[in-house]
Amino acid sequence: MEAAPEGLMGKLTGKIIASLLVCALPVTAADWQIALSLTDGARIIGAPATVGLPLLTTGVGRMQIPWERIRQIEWSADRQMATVTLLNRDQVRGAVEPGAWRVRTAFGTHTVPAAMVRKAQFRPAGARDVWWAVLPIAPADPESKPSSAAMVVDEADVVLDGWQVRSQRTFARPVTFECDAVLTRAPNKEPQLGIRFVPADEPRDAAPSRCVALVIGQRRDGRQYMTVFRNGVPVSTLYEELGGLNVGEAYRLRVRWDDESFTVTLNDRTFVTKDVTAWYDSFHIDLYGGPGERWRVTECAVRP
Amino acid sequence: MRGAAMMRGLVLGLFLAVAAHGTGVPVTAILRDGSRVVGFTSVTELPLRVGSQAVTNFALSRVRSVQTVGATQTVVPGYGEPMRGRVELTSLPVETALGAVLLPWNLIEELQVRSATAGALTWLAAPGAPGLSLTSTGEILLQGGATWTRQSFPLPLAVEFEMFLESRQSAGGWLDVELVADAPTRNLLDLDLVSSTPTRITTACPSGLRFLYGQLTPKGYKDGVSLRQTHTAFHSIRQQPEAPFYVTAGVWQPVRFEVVGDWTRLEWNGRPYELRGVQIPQKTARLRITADPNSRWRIRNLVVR
Repeated sequence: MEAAPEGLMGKLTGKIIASLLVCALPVTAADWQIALSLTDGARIIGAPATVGLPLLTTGVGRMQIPWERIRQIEWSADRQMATVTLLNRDQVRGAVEPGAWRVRTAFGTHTVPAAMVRKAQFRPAGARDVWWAVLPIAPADPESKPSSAAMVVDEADVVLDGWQVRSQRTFARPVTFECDAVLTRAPNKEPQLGIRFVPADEPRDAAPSRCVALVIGQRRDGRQYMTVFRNGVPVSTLYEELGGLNVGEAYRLRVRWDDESFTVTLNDRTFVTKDVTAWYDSFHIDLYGGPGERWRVTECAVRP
Repeated sequence: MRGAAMMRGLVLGLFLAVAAHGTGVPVTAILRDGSRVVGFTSVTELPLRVGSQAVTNFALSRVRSVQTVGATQTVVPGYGEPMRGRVELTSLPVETALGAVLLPWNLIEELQVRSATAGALTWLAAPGAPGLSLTSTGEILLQGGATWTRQSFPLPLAVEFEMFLESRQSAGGWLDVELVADAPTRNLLDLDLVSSTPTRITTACPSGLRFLYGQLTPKGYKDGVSLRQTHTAFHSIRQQPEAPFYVTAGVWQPVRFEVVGDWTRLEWNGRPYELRGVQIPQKTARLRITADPNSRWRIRNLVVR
């Protein structure tokens, strides 16, 4: 590994420290949980029993990053280096010091060897994984890649490239679904992102005949809209105004379905509609985009 | 005869059983907080209280999953009908890669029992058979080839796997998954359900299923799947007013096929289909997979329960 020039190292050090300072939001470790994906397929969720992540970086040497400032840790294929994504999405690369992590779980405190951890995610406590699976519904866009090429990235991340995905788990109301969505390709001027709440017994190989859906999109005339559908019929339009869905822009989406009301938060704006009744208790969650579009949807989580 | 057939067979792959690394029943427990605990449990029987008095003890190795909804559990057996009740366990000991853990039963949302055949099947084929390969990840790739298991399995049973058609070819194609006798000797008449045209196949087939896709015609795609048994029975699962049956290419699709008593049952993409009046002459069968030469089919995660 080549040594970084002194000036560059100084900049790196400053950037890392600045990132950690920016991340010094009023959050505490108790507000967050760690989700560890292990090499044997297990997923351990709990609270770290140690102070932080010991990391050996090329820029600043050994440092300890508080767990509650970390969003995600991913290892390179050879596991020599790890990329630590901080809360503000800045990234720090380094070698995670070998050893074991102590995690307090619902079934006791356990020691997890760092070598067994495939991926580590940190998120607000109480979140549930969605576990996406691709639906066998052929994309309308013939240019879409096979589903295996780019689809379900991980438990919480997915790429919608013409294909639709459905949660493997079922959920019940009241439910909150949240995710980050980025439109990465929009061949036409009418992009849309749909979130469906589909009864548990609906077949997987056809668009559901019964469901409640939220669609966020843009009309050809440049107006952005958000509409709630029930069985394909619009129930209400939460808003419609000038403004587009822009390629490359991140949209933080939060949908709360409680009794008969939908509360949707898109970035920092919240919209509420009532009279969204459902006749089913248990449902899957679907995600889909418009023809030819490509959405990257990450950090999907469900809360009761 | 059987020995000679075995000798002619070429061992395609031998996967060491994952189960061999631990003792007990292999399980995956999904907890209410989303944790997934993978390991082996020493519990061999699952006491299920049905009603106020009766307690049924299920052999855990014959259970497919236990799902909790509210205060009750649904025990889904490897094959056959599910049963609802209340599991009378306070905790479940599981030996994991992290060591022994004791899972309080009230934390478990779903308990999945992994089949002992997972990764432990040996696939055979005729020497030099074209159109067949096995990947290092355990996927079976078929393009006109045929393969069958070295192991035979007692009936009744259920077969679970995931199927992937790489792309639809203009000539159409098919994939057969069959339970074959240990010493197949007889021919049988089979009916293609979509076109209802009798065709002859050359090996005995006690029971099986065929996925079939066809060309686009003015009436739509001639896709279908048939459940079959020796000599007589056939059954199209294309039913009205359901959406037309369509074998989608480019996506993994879970398949579950059961042969229990006098009926066979297919569950595909959340749609169950049944054929009753099935007669199976023998007590054990092997699994054979065959595909048409035009299409590339992939199979993974195949287990027998």
